[in-house]
Parts: sequence; structure tokens; C-alpha cells
Amino acid sequence: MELLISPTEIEAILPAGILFLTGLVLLLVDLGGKERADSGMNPKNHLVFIGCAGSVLALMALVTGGGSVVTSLYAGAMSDDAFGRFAGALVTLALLLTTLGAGGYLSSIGQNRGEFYSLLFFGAGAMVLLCQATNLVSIFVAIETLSLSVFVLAGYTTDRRPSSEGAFKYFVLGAFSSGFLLLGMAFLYGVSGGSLALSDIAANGPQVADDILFAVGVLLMVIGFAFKVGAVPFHSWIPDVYQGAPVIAVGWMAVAVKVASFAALLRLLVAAGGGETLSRLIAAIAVVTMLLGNLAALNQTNIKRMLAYSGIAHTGYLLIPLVLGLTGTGFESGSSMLFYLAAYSVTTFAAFAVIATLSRGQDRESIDDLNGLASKHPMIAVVMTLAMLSLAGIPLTAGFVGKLMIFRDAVEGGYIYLALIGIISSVISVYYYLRPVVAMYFREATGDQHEVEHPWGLHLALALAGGAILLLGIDPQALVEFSVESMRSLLGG
Amino acid sequence: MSPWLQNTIFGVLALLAVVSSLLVVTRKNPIYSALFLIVMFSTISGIFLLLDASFLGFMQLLVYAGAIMVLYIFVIMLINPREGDLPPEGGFTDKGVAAGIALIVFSLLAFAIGKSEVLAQLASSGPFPARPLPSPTHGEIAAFGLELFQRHLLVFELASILILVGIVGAVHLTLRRKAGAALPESSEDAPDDAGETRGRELIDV
Repeated sequence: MELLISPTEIEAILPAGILFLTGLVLLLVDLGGKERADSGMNPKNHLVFIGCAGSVLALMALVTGGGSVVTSLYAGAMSDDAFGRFAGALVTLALLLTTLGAGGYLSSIGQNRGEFYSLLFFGAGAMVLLCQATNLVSIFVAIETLSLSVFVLAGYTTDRRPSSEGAFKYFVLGAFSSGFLLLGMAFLYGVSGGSLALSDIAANGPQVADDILFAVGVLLMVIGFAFKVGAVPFHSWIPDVYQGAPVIAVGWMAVAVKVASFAALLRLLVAAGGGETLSRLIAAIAVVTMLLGNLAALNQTNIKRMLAYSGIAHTGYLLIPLVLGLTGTGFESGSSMLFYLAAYSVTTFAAFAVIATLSRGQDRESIDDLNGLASKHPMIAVVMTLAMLSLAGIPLTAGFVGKLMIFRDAVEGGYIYLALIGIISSVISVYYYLRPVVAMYFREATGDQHEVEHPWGLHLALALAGGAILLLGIDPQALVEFSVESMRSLLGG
Repeated sequence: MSPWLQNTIFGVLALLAVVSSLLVVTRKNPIYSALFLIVMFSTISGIFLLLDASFLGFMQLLVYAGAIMVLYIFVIMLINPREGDLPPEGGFTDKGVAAGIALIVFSLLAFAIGKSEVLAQLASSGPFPARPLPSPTHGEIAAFGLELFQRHLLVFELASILILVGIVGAVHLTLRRKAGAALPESSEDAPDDAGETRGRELIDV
């Protein structure tokens, strides 16, 4: 008997491995000693440094390695292709920004502990693996690992009731959605000749594609994923969880969970197909999600809830490429999804990081708390404005390019109504995205607001995210080409 | 074993499993729920045995019906919830809606299973729990181990991370400490800090 792990397998697992190891180191470094006693308030720069080093290393491993498409690593559990590396790099980038911001923010609310970082890194490792996973079991275990870490992060501030309540709701619904996912997997496994590998499902797919059990299996899995990304009607947990959780964790889960889940869903649908019916169903979900997300965001006064509904709306936009892919125009449109995910990630993170800078003792989360921010902290106000414009899809920002790509694909694929509804709902969204901007620039500050302590990490993260929004908005060509290439590696062309 | 006998045993076990899991969710007293869960786990292990997966079957019995359920019952007795402590259950409409949705999902799945041609083909080629021909070592510990450590090595390792996340999360969520304030090293605080100190020792080790 031989247990062999080939060099290609080590190369493929390296990024996730680095993240897991960093998580372990962070956990051990923060245990014991005097540090532990006064943990909460201490900025603990060493944890931030270790975390940044780990995520930069993982990012380097993701960017430099690979090159060629290698499938069937670890007996088909994962593959090493540009697609997985692209999505993994997005997750790792979000991780880097979150880690930078976490030290300052967590110490300001008196909760700066090693557990936060290690849970963050374990979750990130699982997400990177999920982006590369190619069989049903590895997809499922990766999803469970990342979900578990995110549940705890959502309820991280255990002394605050909304946080615990949100986390519990998330936990119960998350477990429920895992049931759908698992049942769908069991159906697919049974119908496609008792194989767990996506490649076998893809190979057997054409013969069994008409079988109702196959369709139901794919449908159940899509429902499971819809819970994770928060598509209507499986979105009800999002506003409560986002409102309750510490804002830096919200930024992380809004970005990374969505990137990893969409990457896995795309990989699954590329392999399994699903046909006309499923595509019509997803189109309906996309329409409802876009409209409901944007309409519900209109009259939110809590900025975290507003961003939660805006996140739901963006899930709607992100579903459009899946609709196009399933109808036979081919999954080339997946590249716009990849680009959109990148744009969405930096933008959403920037918005949540701005809220994090304002928090003192607890989150300042009403839109009124932003009043007059521009006169006191012009740079933070600029980043927030950029983020809002990018989420709304105003030209010269990353969000505009992303929406342009998705709507263009929709029109070319013959789904003019999807593009139209997308554009209409984007116009609606401009109204609520501009409210924080108006508050920052045209209203007077009241009281002791905006006494920002200037945590260096958070500001650095803000600067990076703001720069990325502009860069992707003005010169998106390089990333567009890269996402097209990544998508091609997945389609094997 | 003749296919007829196998089908009958499967039918009995499956019926028992469904009935006992229904009882798990309908009992008011959590101890009864836990006991019916043991029955449910045992029937599942019986189904594993029926499929010649002897190792998995006994593990199911030992680990789930045995160890884990003992833990469950321990915790339930420790918390000792009374009628009044439990949150009020949903009214008739809540239950009606839930039952309606469950019924829709169930009939969709039943319809899919009944209509499926692939499944019909599989079922006509052998005894009812349709399956491909097993290898001669199927279900033995050695075969199980090889499967786990070779084919599913990556997932096996990932599962260990999953458990670690669970441990860290559980300790963090249940550890009582004062937010923001420095944790007291000496015990000048209220007596209910004892649990906190104990918890801290646990993870400081």
C-alpha cells in the first residue's frame, strides 16, 4: 500500500494549507500569558502582522502557482485551475483587508482576541478549498467548515444580544439549508452512476439530464446555495445577521462567503447543467432578488441593514450569468460574474470598513451617524462616497464596469428583460446609495461623533479598497482579461 | 439473504426510522425526544448492516446511538428544562404553514423518485435498495480505512479543521467574560465568575 501525494497536489493545497497553518499559529500565539488577561482592549499588532503575513503568503502561492489546468487531485476531490485560483485570490484579498482592519476595530469594542483571527483564517482556508473543490463531498465539507466559522463570527460579540440572536438564526437556517444541499447531492450521486466527482456527473449528465431525479437534485443544491448567497426567498436571515454581527465580520462574510459560494455554484452548474427549466427558475429568482433587495433597502435608516438589502440585490445581479450559462449560450458569461465578484468585494468591504472606523465602544450604524463626516475626515468620506457610487454602478468605478459586463451579456444572450430589470433596479438603488453621501457632505455633525481613533490598519485597508475601486473602474482591462482566461480554464477550452 | 427478506427488513427499519423521527420532533419532554433519537439511530445502523456495511453500521451504533446520545441526555439533564423554560411553540397557523411546506417538498421528492427512469432501471436490476455490485472487501474495516485515508484523504483532513473550528467556536461562545473590561486574575469578583475562570483555564492549557 502506498500513500502518495504528488508535488502537483501539494502545490494545489498550498494556499489553503498556509491559511490553516496561520489560523493555528494565531490561535496558539494568543493563548496564555498576561496578554490574555487584558486581551479585549489591546490592539495586538502582532496578531495583525502574523495574519497579514499569512494572507500575503497565501496570495503569493495562489498567484504564482498553477498555470496549467490539473484536474483530479486527491482522487478527484479538487482541481488546480485558474478559475479556482482567481476566486481563491479574491477570498484571500478580502481576508488581508479584514485582518488589517480587525485589530483596530476589535480593540475599540474591547473584543480583540485571537479566536477571531483564527476563525477568520480557518474559514478562509475552507473557502479557498471550496473554490477548488471538484467533488460533492469536498464541496460539502468545505461549505460546512466555512459556515461554522462564519456562524461564530456573526455571534462573536457574545455580550450583545442582537449579535447572539442573529448568529442563532443564521445557525439554524444554515443547518436547514445544508440539509437541502446534502439531499441534492445524494440524488445527484444516485442518478449519475454512484460517483461523487463533478467530472463524472458532467460525463453522465447528458444521458440522465432528462431524468426528473437529476433535475430535482440540481434544484435542491441550488436552493442550498441560494441560502448561502442570500437570494430571495431564502434571504430573510441576512438583515438580522448583518445588523447584529460586529461590522468587520459583516464585511468579511458579505464578501468572502458570496465569492466562494458563487464560485462553487458556477463550477457545479458548469458540470451538471440543468437545462431550460432550471434556468427559467433562476431567472425568476434573479428578478425578484434584484427588485426586492433594492426596494427594501430604500427606507432603511440603519446603514448595516441597508447594506444587507443592497447585498441581496447584488446577489440578484450575480445570478444573471448563471441564467445565461444554463440556456446553452455557454458559460462564457461566467467571466463577468468573476469580475463582478471582484468589484463587489472591494466595494462592499470599503463600505463596511468605513462604518468600522466610526465605531467607538459599539457600532455607530444609523445613517445620521455619518452627518458631517466630510468636514472632519475628508479621506474616509471620499472612500465611502466611492463605495456608494460603485455599488450604485456610476461610471469610473468598479461597480459600473461589473454591471456593464453582466447587462451586456444578458442583452447578447437574448435576455433583454433581465438587463432591463437590472438597470431599473440600479436606478432605484442610486437613491438610497446617495443618502449616506448626502449625510456626509451636506449635513452638520452633532455631538461627539467621528472621534476616530485612527487605527492604522483600518485606514490602510480603506485606502487599499478605495484605490482598487478606482483602479478597476478606470482601467479594468487587465482584470477583465484575467477573468475571461480563468473562466476558459474552467470550461476546458 | 433473499431479496424478499431483505426488502421486508428494509421496510420495517425504514418505517421505524420515520415513526421514531416523527416522535423526536413531536414530544414535549426533551428526554423522550432524545430516547426516540436513539431508536432512530439504531434503525439507521440496521440499514447500514443490511447494505453489508458492517463496520459503518456498528460505528453508527457505538458513536451515535451510544456515545453522542449519552452526551445529549447528560446535557438535557444538566439544563433540566421545565415546561415554563421552553419557548412557546408556534400556534396552529404556524404549524399549519410548516406542515404545508413540508408536505409540498415531500410530494415533490416522492414524485421525483416515483417518476425517475434511472431509479426504475436500477431497482429492476436487483433488490430494492438498489446498488452496484460491491467489491468482495466491501464493508470491512480495511476497505473502509483505505477509502477514508486514500480516496477521501483531503476531506478527512478538512473535517479535522471543521471540528477544530467547532471547538474554538463553542469555547468562545460559551465563555463568560466581561466585555471590554480586563479579566480578573484574582477572584475579587462575584462568585458566578467561578465558571468563567474555569472556562479560561480550559483554553489556557
